[in-house]
Amino acid sequence: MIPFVRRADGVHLGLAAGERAVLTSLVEQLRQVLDHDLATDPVAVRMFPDAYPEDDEASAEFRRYTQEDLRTAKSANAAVVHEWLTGAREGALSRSDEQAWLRSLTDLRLTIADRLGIVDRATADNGLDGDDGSVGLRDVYDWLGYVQEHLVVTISAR
Amino acid sequence: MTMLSPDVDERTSVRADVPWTTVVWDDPVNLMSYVTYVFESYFGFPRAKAERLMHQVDSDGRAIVATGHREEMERHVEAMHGYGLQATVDRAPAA
Repeated sequence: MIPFVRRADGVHLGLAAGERAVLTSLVEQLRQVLDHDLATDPVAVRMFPDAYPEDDEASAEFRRYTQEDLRTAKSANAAVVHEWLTGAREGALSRSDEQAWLRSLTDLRLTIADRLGIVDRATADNGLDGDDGSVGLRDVYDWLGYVQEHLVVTISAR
Repeated sequence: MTMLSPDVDERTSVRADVPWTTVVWDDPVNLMSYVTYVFESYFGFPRAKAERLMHQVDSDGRAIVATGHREEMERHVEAMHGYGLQATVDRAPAA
């Protein structure tokens, strides 16, 4: 189904029940990563990149000042998305809900890209090989891209 | 608003007293539409400028999206990280 639908009062969720279930599971995994596993998770360098690539000390200091706030914000975004997916929130997305969705979809894609080993253009097609017809992580990654693209277009059509 | 207005181009115009920049880097994950959206909505750039910078990121691997004082650039970089973009603080190129 079309992921998002614009109505007179704003953007509504249009995802089918099965799609919501898949996304709910993914968001729960994202929340787990954000809340528990970050210290040892390689996705951390994508979510909290070095601000000063040639200055480790300055990067560490930047991280000290920003990482906890960023992590808290990412967790809060994921919680908002989870509420929408599970029906705890309904109706039209507020502006801040839209932001939470856009950012969480990005965090999900960053996380899955890390699992697929997508680090540059040469690896951008990772996971596309050996398709046995089943729905794999690569399909999920591409679908999330579609969902996000659709949200960006829907929001931008305001 | 006109696309041909003689606005200062932050890619090439750097003042000596504001020697820091916010750099956004190409990454294989973020969508072109999303990067354009972030440049438009966060920096308030007109669509044409946001798209031009997005294409610069895509083709050159990076683009300077803001120039100014260090603290301000760090706020921008933190915001970019909040959006999930790869961004760094860098010294401005020599004038």
